[in-house]
Amino acid sequence: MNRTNEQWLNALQGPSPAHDAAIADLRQILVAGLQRGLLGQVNTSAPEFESLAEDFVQEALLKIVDKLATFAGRSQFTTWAHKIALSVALTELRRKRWQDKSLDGIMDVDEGDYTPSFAADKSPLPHNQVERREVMARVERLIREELTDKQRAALTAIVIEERSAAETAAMLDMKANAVYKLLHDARLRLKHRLAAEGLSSAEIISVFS
Amino acid sequence: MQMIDNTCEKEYSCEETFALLDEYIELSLTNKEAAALMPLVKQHIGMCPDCREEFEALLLAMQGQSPSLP
Repeated sequence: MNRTNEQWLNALQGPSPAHDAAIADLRQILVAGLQRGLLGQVNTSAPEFESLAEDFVQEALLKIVDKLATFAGRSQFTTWAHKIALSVALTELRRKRWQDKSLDGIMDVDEGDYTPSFAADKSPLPHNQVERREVMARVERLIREELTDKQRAALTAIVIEERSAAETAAMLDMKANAVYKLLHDARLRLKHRLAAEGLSSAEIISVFS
Repeated sequence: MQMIDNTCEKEYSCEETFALLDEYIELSLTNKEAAALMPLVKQHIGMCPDCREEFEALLLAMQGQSPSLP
């Protein structure tokens, strides 16, 4: 099953007995990779996992063959192939997590904490409460003044509600890849505004610690 | 707040990070200075939960194969 990158590329490029053998080997390698890589995401020992993994690998194999020309050769071919297979699997699992509850039996779903970690209330002392409220009001005002509605919605979804980029993108009717750019712009605006207001994040966090 | 602190003017997009993720993982697994060699990948992984999830999954998947890495 060990092949060099060149051997993988040659075997996968056209219909031949070598092609079929390479696809069969790669399928086996990728299923094993999903079993290791998805530990903690799904129950990989559940009976349903086998067919789920087969579906992911089938889709991944199509993508891999389609994208062969883009493989730059800077890693082992199998590392590149695992990357694509895991991306296919995780994208689908994220989608299913919020669209389709049929996998609940084998999905590990966290309860989620809807309080920002820096603002989590750890038995606040009374003298801190006023200061906390003031700082929160100030931060909320900066967010309200500095960010667009869409940036605020994305920030809330990703940071506070811990939704995935794909889910947030669907909520905001935009492409998943654009969500990161939207949030980057939002973070940058807040960073500049905090600096302009003379507020440091360390100060803010210290009020809540 | 930490995320705001760690925000840089220039950050990789998810696509740019994904394109380099296999190389970054191999550098990480062979004890080379992946973060020093590819700081923008490390920075993006620290900021983007979805890409971090893909990095961690790929790391788990590759750890069983690391002895064969160059």
